[in-house]
Amino acid sequence: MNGRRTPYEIYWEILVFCRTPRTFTGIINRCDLNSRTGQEYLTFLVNMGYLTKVKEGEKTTYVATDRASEYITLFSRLYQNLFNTIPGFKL
Amino acid sequence: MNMNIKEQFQGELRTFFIISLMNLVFAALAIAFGVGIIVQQATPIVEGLKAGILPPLPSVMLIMLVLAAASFLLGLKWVTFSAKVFHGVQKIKKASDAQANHATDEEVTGLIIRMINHYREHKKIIEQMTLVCTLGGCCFLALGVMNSLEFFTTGPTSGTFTLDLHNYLLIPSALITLGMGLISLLNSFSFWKFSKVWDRRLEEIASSEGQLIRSMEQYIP
Repeated sequence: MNGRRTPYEIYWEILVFCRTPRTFTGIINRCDLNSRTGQEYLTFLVNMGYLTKVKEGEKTTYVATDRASEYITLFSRLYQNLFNTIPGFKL
Repeated sequence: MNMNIKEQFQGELRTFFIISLMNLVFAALAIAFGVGIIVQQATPIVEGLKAGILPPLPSVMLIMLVLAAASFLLGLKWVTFSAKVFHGVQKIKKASDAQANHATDEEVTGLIIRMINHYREHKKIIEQMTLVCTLGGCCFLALGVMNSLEFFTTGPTSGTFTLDLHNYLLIPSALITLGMGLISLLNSFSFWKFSKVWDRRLEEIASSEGQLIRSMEQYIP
């Protein structure tokens, strides 16, 4: 996804993608982030308890926690409500 | 997910895709018409100049040349803007069509985010395109009227014009340019309406970020 995404949209993308364990490279490629900002977002989400860092030997993966589901659900509801509360675009 | 939301989003996406495509087509037609009328009107001048004579330029011809040049230049800008907007919408529509009826809640939310980001990224371009579309539509309308004029003159306090309704060959081209003018203006109105709806949605997103922040703050370790 491109465009000027808000941080909350990026958190949502990362958390949905990390429902299964993902590597750092996989996350930044999928979510279209550069290494620096990707690391900042992942560190923030780990500190907030939404992601868990799992080390398996030399490989490190990130996986979403149960708390992440609440954020994902709230975010999805807010964005879907845009189509409930605001009259749509029709010709 | 509420099926209505999914259908509403897909319906809006389809509508915007069609408008963007029509816009691209009309932008190309504006260029083509502009060039065609410039060549048509300028040919007698060029032939006169070759013979060493500058022929008199009726006001109708001058006005049509100016309108045709404006149509051509606006068309170039119009095509550039339209292509950018259309390309993004086309990609989102492709992704939406690939999901068809079996899209999950998250896939549809992902598409909504893509549409929002597409609008954020191209908001200024869409505003400029609405203006260019309006001006282009006015040029087409004016060209349509000029195409059907047999005689036109103005003075300080009055003017006269005669519509050439006996020359049936003029009617199709006049109708085509008038039709294109009206459709361009309709396109412009559609883009304006689209911008209004998505501007409200962007405001709604900004105001709902507070809820997301509060939900995150509940869990600060």
